[in-house]
Parts: sequence; structure tokens; C-alpha cells
Amino acid sequence: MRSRLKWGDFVIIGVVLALAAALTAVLAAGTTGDRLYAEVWQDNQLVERVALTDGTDRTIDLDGHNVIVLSGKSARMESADCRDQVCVRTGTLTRAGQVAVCLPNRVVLKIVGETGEIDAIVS
Amino acid sequence: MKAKKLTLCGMLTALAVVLSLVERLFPLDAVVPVPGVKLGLANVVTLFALTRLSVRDALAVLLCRVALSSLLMGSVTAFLFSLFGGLLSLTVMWLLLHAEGRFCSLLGVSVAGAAAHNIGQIIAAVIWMQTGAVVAYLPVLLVMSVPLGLVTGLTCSVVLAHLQKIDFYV
Repeated sequence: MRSRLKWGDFVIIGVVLALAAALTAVLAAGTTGDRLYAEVWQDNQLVERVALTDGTDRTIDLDGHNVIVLSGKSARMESADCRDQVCVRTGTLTRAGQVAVCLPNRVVLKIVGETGEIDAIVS
Repeated sequence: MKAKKLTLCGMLTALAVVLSLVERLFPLDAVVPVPGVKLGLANVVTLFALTRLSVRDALAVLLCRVALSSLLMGSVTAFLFSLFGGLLSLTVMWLLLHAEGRFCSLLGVSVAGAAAHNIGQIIAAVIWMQTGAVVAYLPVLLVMSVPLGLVTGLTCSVVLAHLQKIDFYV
């Protein structure tokens, strides 16, 4: 059998998992903030950028190809006319850094966070 | 190319296409909603061809498999992703196989191949989407490639052990 584990196997598994962890850390960096925005990109063009607040209630229809629902502080891909439906199954996005990607239609829905600016200082 | 070898490559290609079809019966991406998550059964064939034939034969089988399975059930995007993933996976496994037996076993080679396949797919997706947003899927894919790579590596090892018993060499 050529499946008897050697030390190098653990090195390989370790490297793969470390890569995943490092990537997660890099992606998570700079995406936090107390203000959330939903961004809709199509063909690498920013189509919509909507601030997500408790009262947000919007539906964005991209010519019937993709329907995006923004509800409160969450966003989801309601429907897509592609075959794989991966973006729809991604479910509801609620945290900064989360994305739902529709590869066939080249649509990206993502949530970005921004640190709130100070509106006023009362002394 | 000897007729026997050509026949074997044809059989392996057919097997790889069938395995790509079969793994669609296990829609892993319904459980993990990330595009491109799959068992990677066809990778068993690539690994087998690399260990038993040559890198050139493995490459030929890979290219035929990607072209045929994309024609049968895929799209242009699926073809692009499989091609990038397959080529990177083949390269990494070929390089690691030189150290197999001393440094690592077939399982490690397979895990590295699975991870490389996912990295290749994401590279293709970044080129296709022209945005780095899809990289967000890579961590999940990499974590998944460990158990899935172990399964395909184990499968290939079992197949090789059984084929040792028959006169199969070309």
C-alpha cells in the first residue's frame, strides 16, 4: 500500500490548512466596521451600493438575470437564471466580508463594512 | 505510441469522464455552498496515470477528459475552471511524486493535488470575473480539499495495490 502516512503528509496537510487560515485572516482584515453596505457588482462594475440599516428594504433586479433582496442588515441573492444556483444557495449575508458570487452572470454581491465617521462632537 | 498504451489512455479517459458524471450524483455544493466543490473522483485517474504511465500520458488523458466532460455537461466557464484546476493539480502532483515514498505517501500527493486544483479554479474564476471577490471562497475550498484529497488518494492507492496482482504493465 502506498497510503501509509509519512511525516511529509502532515506537512502538506498543515501547509494547506495554514494557507486557508492565512487567507481567511487576510480577507477578514479591513472588512469590519459598524456601518454595513451591500455592493452589487456586474462585470466588475459597481452597479449599486446601498447602506444597510434596520429599515432597509429593497429589491434589485438585474434585468431578470439576478434578483437581489436587501432586507434590514442583510442581503441575499433571491434568484438567478443560471443552472448552478450556487449564489442562491449561499443564503443570507449578514457580516462584512461575506460574498455571494454568480459565476455564469459575472455578478458579485458583497457586504462591506466601514467604520462610522463622527457626525458631531458635543462638548 | 504503442497500441496497448494508446488503448489504456483511451480507457482511462473514458473512466475519468464517467467518474465526472458519477460525482454529479453527490452534489457536495448543496451542503457546502461554494462553487466548484466536488469529490474529485476524476483526480484518481490523473494520479493513476502519473504513477503508472508518464506525465505526457497523464496530460493527454487530462486534456481529453476536460474537453469531453465540458462538452457533455458543462459550459465555457466549467471548461475554463476544470482546465486551470486540472493543469495546476497535475503539475503539483507530478512534482511531489518524485518525493513520494521518502517524503510523503500517495495521500499527501493527492491532498496537494486537490488543493492545487482549487487554487487553479479560483485563478480561472478571478480571470473570468475580473475581480478578486471570488478568492473569498478559497479558504473553504482548501479546507475541504484535505478530506477529499485523502479519499481520492486512498482510492488510488487501493486501485494500485489490486492492479499489482495482475500483469498490467505497458
